[in-house]
Amino acid sequence: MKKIKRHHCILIVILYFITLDRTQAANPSSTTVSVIIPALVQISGLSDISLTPTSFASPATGATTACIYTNVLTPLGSYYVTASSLNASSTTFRATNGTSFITYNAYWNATSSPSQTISLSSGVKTAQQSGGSSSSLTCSGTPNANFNISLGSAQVEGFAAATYTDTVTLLISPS
Amino acid sequence: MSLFRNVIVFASLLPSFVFASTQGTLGTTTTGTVSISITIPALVQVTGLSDLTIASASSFPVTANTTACIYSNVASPLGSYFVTASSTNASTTNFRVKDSGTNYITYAAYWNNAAAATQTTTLASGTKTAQQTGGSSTSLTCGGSPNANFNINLTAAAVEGVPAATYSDVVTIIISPT
Repeated sequence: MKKIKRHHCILIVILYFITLDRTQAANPSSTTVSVIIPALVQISGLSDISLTPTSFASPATGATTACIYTNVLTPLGSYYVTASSLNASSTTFRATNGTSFITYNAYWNATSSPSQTISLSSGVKTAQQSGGSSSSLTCSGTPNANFNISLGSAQVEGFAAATYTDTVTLLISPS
Repeated sequence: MSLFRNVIVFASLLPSFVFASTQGTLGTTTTGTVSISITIPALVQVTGLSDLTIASASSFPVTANTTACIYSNVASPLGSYFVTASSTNASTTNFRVKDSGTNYITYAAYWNNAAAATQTTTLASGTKTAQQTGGSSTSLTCGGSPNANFNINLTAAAVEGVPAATYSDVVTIIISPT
């Protein structure tokens, strides 16, 4: 009886090792890794804009450069801009001193120069822009876009001497 | 260390506009903000001036005037300004006209902060007046209605002893917010 029990134990141990070996043999020797990179964008390098019109003869202007990163494929480096004025009236950019609102014009340029290339309407997405960096989150230190504003004499006329402020939110989207 | 901590606390209390612009981060969309500050200084403008001509002064005193449009966005009081009128041929603070030679006639000059040719404020050449009110704070053209007057007065005593001739002067009118 003792011999039978000993044989059973030996058999169980042998079967365990056989099973273990088969299990290891069934494991894959490589794993498929899948990562989906969506369209990604980033805006950085923005500065505040201050301007002081001192004459009615010519408009006052101010600008900030920006770095746009985008991995959008078609076309590579493309993006959209939606600029929104905190004090907007409909699609008009406005700054306020708390009681009065002064209207100003806002523009986007897809290069670093302060050109009035794309006239912005507050809260309205632009047409597709190009020129974003598809290779560097920091645009390799060279800005590739410009947000700029202007204030004409007609917009200054009738406003008391004071400081008028606004906050513009720039939303960059891949589509 | 205490000083460093105080600096940190002070920096955290600074108004948000000091470091107002914010940068976006990498994502399917990204948002940055830009703080806009527009400082409109005190701005003034004088327009609508005409030349003054006294064609033939035969009865004295003789006067002439020009209306003007003063725009001023000075806030306190709204539409206020100062005037400094300067005669090209002045002698100290006296306004003078001059002939082609070396003869001068002294005349009086006045400012009125309304369109009427009233001798309200006596001007001294090169001397700023007291604060005037009545400038337009809304329209660079004063809505088409003059709101100031520059006028002169020539007395018989002033022309006594001066030869018959044409006398002229150029008056520069400086409008300033302060």
